[in-house]
Amino acid sequence: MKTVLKQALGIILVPALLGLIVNEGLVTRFVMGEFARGFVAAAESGAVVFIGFEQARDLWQGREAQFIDARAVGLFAAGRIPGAVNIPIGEPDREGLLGRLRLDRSKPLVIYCSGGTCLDSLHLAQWLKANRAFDDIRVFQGGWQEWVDGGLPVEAPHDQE
Amino acid sequence: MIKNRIARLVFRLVVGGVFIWSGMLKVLHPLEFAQNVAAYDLFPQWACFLAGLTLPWVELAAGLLLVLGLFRRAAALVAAVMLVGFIFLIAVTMVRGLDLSCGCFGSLSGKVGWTLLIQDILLLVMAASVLLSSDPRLSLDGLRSKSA
Repeated sequence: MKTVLKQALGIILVPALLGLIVNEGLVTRFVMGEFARGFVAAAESGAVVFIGFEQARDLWQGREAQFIDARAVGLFAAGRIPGAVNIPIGEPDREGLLGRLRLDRSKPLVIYCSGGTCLDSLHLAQWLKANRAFDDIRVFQGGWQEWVDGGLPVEAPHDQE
Repeated sequence: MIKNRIARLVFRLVVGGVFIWSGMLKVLHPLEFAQNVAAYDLFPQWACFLAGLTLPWVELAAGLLLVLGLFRRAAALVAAVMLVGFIFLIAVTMVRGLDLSCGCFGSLSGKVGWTLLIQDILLLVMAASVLLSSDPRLSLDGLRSKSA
């Protein structure tokens, strides 16, 4: 069993070291503090800015940004950040929907989805960045989950009726 | 544990195959995997980063060695330890009631839940069977011991 343990240690250490060597560039970027706010952000974001819970809260409380919910219609209908509009990532006529929403281009957009590993907000942000003249697009990574966990107000269906 | 050597070969190939597939998907996207680990909200950022860069390679190596039957018991031990970790993470996530993607298979990952838990427990049983058997037949270890 001692031999097996030694071999197992080798099976862990050698590939782990290889992983660090192959990703040496990422290690350097991490040491320079690049991934303090998240990993996917830096990997895929392009020009999209990622914000945390406090920034999202401040922007919402100050009415300084337009919030966009990238989740499916049903989830949006069940509860959302007050004032948010829904652009589901799966919407086939996203262009048309965006036109009808008449968003204020002078204000930053804050896009969110479920939170956790949800990437819908990032994908919507990338699409908006590529297709529309929005200068300031931010993704609230913690999303709906963090908003609710943080005890901030939510808008339920009956609030708009 | 399992005495049938054909069954053990199948177990090795199944666990090895799953680990190779899972490792490959994550090796190609280390930051995405690190983000998935971070989403569990249990580990510091540096640990998630380290896991993102190293774990997929360990998974891949353990999977390849299991399929080849080379250092198969050690590879099964590594796989079993990782599976115990995954099972623990899944159970904790379920208890916390979080709606998370497991991050096990890159962008093809399913949600954390009973299906995933049972799947990992089955893989653990298979890995343990390989680990507990000293019979090297039907593996490269067997050829090595013959030629030694």
